[in-house]
Amino acid sequence: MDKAKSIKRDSTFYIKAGGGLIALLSVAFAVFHGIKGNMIVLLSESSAFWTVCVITVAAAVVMGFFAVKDRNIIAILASAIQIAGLLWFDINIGSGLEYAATLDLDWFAVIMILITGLMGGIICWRTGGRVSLLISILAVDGMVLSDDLLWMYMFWTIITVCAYDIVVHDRNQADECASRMLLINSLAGIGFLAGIIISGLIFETVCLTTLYLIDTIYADMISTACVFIVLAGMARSMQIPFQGWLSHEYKTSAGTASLIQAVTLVNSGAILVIKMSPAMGVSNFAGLMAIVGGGLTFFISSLNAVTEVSSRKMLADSTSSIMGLVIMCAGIGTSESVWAAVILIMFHSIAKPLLLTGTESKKLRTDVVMGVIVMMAAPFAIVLLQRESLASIVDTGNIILVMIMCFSGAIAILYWTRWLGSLIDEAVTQGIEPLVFKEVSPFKANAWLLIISIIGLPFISMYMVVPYMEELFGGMSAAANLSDNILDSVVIALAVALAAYPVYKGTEAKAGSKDRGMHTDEETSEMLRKSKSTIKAQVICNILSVVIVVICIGFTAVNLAGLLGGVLQ
Amino acid sequence: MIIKTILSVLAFIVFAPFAGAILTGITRKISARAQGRDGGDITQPISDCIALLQKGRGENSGIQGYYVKVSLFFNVLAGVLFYAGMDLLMTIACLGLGIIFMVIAASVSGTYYSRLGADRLAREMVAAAPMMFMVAIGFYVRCGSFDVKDLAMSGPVAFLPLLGLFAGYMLIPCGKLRRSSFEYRMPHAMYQKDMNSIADAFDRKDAAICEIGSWYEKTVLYSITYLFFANGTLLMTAVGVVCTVLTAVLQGIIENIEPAADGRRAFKSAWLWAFVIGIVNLVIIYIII
Repeated sequence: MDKAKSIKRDSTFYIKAGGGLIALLSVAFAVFHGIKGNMIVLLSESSAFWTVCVITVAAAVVMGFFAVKDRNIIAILASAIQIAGLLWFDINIGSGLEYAATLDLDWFAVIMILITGLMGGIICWRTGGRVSLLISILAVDGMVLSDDLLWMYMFWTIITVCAYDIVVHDRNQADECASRMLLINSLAGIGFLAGIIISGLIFETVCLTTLYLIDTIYADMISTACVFIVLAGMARSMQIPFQGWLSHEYKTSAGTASLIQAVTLVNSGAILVIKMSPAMGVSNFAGLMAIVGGGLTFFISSLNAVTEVSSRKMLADSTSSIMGLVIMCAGIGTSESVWAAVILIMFHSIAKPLLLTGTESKKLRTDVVMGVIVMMAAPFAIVLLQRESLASIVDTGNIILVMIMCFSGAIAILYWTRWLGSLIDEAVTQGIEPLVFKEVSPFKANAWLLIISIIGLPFISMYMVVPYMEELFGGMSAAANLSDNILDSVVIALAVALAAYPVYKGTEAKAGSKDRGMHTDEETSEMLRKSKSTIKAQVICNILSVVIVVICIGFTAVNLAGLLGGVLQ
Repeated sequence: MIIKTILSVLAFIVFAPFAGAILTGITRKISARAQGRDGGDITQPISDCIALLQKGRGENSGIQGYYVKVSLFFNVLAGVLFYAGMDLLMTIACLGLGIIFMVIAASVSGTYYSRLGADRLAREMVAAAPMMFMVAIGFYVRCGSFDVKDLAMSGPVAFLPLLGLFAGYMLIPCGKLRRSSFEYRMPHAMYQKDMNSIADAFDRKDAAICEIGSWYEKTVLYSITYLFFANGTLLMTAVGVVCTVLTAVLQGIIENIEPAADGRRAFKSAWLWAFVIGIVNLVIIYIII
């Protein structure tokens, strides 16, 4: 008994140490990149190629094994199709292709690795947990770095497997969530593989840099392959019509949820779409699908979040709505919109774990104070940043999108305001002791990270995101407007500081207010919940999203038939 | 140029509450006349507020007072950004933050009516937000910039191409400022304050600050109305000022046409109108440009 206990403690210790190591390594990587600049690594040996192939097949086999254990026939079939397809592709086509780059160490990689490493480290520190935690964090890093679609696919499959493992072993036994997640993600894997096979067959490359190059020469040709890859990314990021697994996500514990929603699984879908963004735009089907799907999700998930009573469900909905915004921005494919997507994903990754942990603690303790302060940052940051995405959407001239943006922005403000009001109300009612600076906790580290990212927003934008935009789209980006970014950062910081000041100072529990506990502030959400228009809107948005996916895939298939005919002749 | 900016910002900070108060007085007078009453003087709101401030603190002071002040701060900040010629969207966002902090103030105060008022205030903000965003977008499409400086000084006059948005903007803040239908904002007279308002749990001084904040907000809203006419020339400045005052008068009249509408209907119609007007007008200006 004692032995088992000590082993368990040891494994937790190693996971925490591993998390710390990953965080340190990611900072080291950023410093290294800062010194050396952008780099490309080419691993053209066939041994590397076959290693990737073997690892991917092994991961897909594990996925199939999980599917068998889950008795999920569609997931079993999906895994089998992926194994067969991958083997066929690697043996017949993949081994003969030429590779331009395997790993691409650019600014996007630096940003995402910093976020993933630091947030992953903090979550490991807080929860301990399983080895798959560390593997999935590393896999996201790998996916961000790779320039080769086959490598990305390897990390993609590993992330799926690890996420399933983590959710299944979550202490809350969220079985249904796990099985739905496996189902959607294994189907998404087929989409990704289809994209890889098409680009290998038609464009004879699986390198992203080469694909971008082809895209600038033959405008919009890439969208035939891109549309499937984007579909995979959207399915993983909980966009409609694929948000099925979302409805059970809230049963997992806060640590697992923050890992899945803010660091690994959902982020990896958005990262994939952002990586494809140079090949997307308003004029091709991949871009169209991302824009319409993301926009509709942003609207409908915001609506769901307002009508939701439980805060965990609300947070899951808000994740999918913000991811909708990210994917919509990536789909527009201009430098400003992708800038907004990167900044949004950064704030979301840092803020969401704090919000999720806030829902877990029943009583506000001293060390939660810091979190409560910074939790308020998230709403403001996200509300104010929509300005950038708004400008880029208006520039596309798509009026329906402008409408979606205006209305869903309004709803998003409503649910964040509600959340903020109830948080401060709770803090005031229960009373909070003043902040203790000496204490060290993962929660506080997370809070400081968010503070740094808010204050450092102009610098992050100037020295990290804008260089990436220039490298990707060329020319000076309009998002480089430093004074705008400073204004953003100042207003957000002011709003956060002013909202948080009484909480920071500490309050005494308030006695004698007998009206407490009357949830009259639910009136608006009650109204929206019962309204027939809400249900209608949900049905219409779901149908629309299915229709747009079918149209995009259909037109692409027709294009593809023509192109393939050319190839086969 | 910098001196001019600083002067206009200072002028806003000093004169905006009076402008807001007098506009409030005018609309109040018009409603009174429409209902066959004489109505108070147009400077009545100011003297009300001063009287309230002189009465001093009551027993109700608490954390909500702090948030009322923060709300005032953001309303002032919105105006400062506007008169410094900065981003119009940021101005709207700051107005929104002003309302958000008012919602927080009311929902932490812990009484039933305040929390009800907070919820309704939040709903009212959401009802008006799409139209506010769309006005900013309309200006952006018409003049190619979000900066107030460009819109006010060099841009073409936006009134005619943005006629639909102007109408929507005029109507929706009208629903927003309307007292009778939503009954959550400050009531007309301060002595009614414990009857039906968001200020239910506010102390007298806080209520006065809340009122001053709403004047700042009103001035910023009417400044955006003025933006529809401005192009930097003296003639259009005069036309703009006259038309802004006329708008206030018109709003006072409209307020009396339909004095009572329930929250749900107001919300629905606000969104429906924003949707229809927004689509039609934006299509038109995209075609024109």
